[in-house]
Amino acid sequence: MLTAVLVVTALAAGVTGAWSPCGLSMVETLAPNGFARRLRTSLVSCATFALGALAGGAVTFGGLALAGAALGAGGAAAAGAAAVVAVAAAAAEARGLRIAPQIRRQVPEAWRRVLPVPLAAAGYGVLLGLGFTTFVLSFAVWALAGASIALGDPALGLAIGLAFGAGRALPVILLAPFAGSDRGGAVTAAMCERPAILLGLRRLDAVALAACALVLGTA
Amino acid sequence: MVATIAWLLTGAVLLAAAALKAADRTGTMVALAAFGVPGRVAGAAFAALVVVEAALAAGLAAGFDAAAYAAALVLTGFLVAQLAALARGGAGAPCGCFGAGGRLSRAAAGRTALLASACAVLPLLGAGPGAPLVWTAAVAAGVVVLAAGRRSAPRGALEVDGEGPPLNEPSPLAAWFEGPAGGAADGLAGGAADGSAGGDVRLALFTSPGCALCKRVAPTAGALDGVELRRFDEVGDTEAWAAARVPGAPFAVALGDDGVVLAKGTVNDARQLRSIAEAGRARRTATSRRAFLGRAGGVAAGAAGAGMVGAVIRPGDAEAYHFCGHIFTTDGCPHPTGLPRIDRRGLPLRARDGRRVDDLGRLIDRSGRPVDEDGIALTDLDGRPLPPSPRTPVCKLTGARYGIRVRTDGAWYRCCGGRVRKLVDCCSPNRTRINGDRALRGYCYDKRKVFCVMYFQSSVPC
Repeated sequence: MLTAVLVVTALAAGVTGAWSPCGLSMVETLAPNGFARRLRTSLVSCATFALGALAGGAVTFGGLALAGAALGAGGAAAAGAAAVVAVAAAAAEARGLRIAPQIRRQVPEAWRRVLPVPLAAAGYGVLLGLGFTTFVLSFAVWALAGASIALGDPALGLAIGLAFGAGRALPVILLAPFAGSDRGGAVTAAMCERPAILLGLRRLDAVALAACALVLGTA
Repeated sequence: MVATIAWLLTGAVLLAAAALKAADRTGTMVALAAFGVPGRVAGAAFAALVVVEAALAAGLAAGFDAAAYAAALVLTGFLVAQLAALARGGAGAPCGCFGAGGRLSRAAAGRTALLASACAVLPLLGAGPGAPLVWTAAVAAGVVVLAAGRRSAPRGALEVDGEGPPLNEPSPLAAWFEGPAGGAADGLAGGAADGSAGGDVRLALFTSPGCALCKRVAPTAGALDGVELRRFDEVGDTEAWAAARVPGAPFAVALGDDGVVLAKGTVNDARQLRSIAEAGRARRTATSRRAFLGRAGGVAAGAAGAGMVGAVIRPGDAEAYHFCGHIFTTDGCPHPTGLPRIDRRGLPLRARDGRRVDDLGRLIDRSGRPVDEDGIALTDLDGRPLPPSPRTPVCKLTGARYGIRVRTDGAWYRCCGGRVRKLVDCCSPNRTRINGDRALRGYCYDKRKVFCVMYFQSSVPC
């Protein structure tokens, strides 16, 4: 149960991350009418991007879980602390508060110009999957990091990381191949112009975080 | 107990030094240049400094004797570097000890010596706190990462070669300062005196009536000490604007008594404006006594004065700075209402509120008819609705105006003013930009280069 809830939360947090300067830039970059220039390159780049994102997520959250294990975490007190953090994060998400602390970093734009696009995409994927090297768009990311350390379970950390990476990759790889079309452009524009979509996603994050808190608190 | 406090205190001092450096990368790199670190390795030296100091702090908090001795050794190295710089006449330059705020002085060297001595004697005082290294390292890393993440707007103004009057050359702007306050000199109109007369640096501030940033910057200019200030309005002082080749407002130029341009740059806030005055002052001093400050030139082209906090910023910052400030190295594409804000199809929007405008700059409704601010259709004297005007994509209109082939290619998103913004290049095969400078590739592809730039404002917070 705990694993399932955390994985869903990580997936939702990753998807929310698409509403960031980096996430939106990726759609633009990997589109066939963007730097990829061809549908085939776009599809290959989407694949390498997804792999990079999965790897990045696994490194961050798996690494944090390993650190937690090394520190001897995993007790009821640690789980309780993670639950408190999750509650706070859920409340902040539900209210749509500005993310703090924020990491005002972006992936290097030059990579797409100097590297083959699939290789640049893999690098971008890793950076986005790492979660803390670029803008954070959900308090859930911080809460999941805390939970990974507190639970100190490397397998669970890996699952969280992979789900987070998948969440970061999904909107990009679903949108990028179609970004040049009218419908694809309209969807990307809607992402930019309709605050309600992001607000809805953040509320979803809040619900998932609340569920996390409940499960952590009763674990 | 005393020993534990001493270990923790020295660790905290080193961690603060690392965090403050991390929080101001540019300022620290400028300070490193003042110590003779070549610009090409300044970035690596910055990173190494932050990592070493944070690691030592973690080691001290964990109570490792080796960390104390290593910290003493490192700090002794800093002390030698400071003394050497002071011997070369570098007093007053940024020391970079705790971010960019501190200055090189005997007191600073004394503080370093004291800290080095303290680290050396820590093991003699007794055992350290003995906290688990993994915890202290995690705390140190967290503090440094958070400090680095706190960086927001650059402290320095943006100084770009080719924008504004050339550095170290006499500028005709001096004539405006030599006339009576608030009036003309040599028949030149305009140039409102705005600050103290007879300052040690003459500061020309260029503003524009429609520029929101100017409204924020201008009132702060009067508070600058030791500055003789003149404001030049884009509409009222067109000759001064032309003479200074101002790329956009707000822009500032610092002049010496002899009218030589000491510093210049695009400014977005009071801190950046102050950096222009400080850079001008530092460069004037450096020129007069040929001090070692000139060695700071390794950090960035034209940065001859390390006495300023900024006036030189990294290209990455510059890019963000430009767009976030609505001012561009490559000028904005011609737009009916000024700033080149567009919708997702590239059609013009009014920058301040995102409302649609036609090619004449009139607000229009969904059917393209011109309307007033309240959305009521404009009519002629007989009460008939005015006919719609064309509404052309801004890039396309630019191509038609300049007689060149243009195309909207790539784009990139940045966080500007709390909202995600899409930066869009209007590309052409031309070798020059709209402002006459050599064209850059930017976000263009297929051998096209940036001719001018536009932006699409999203509602996504960041």
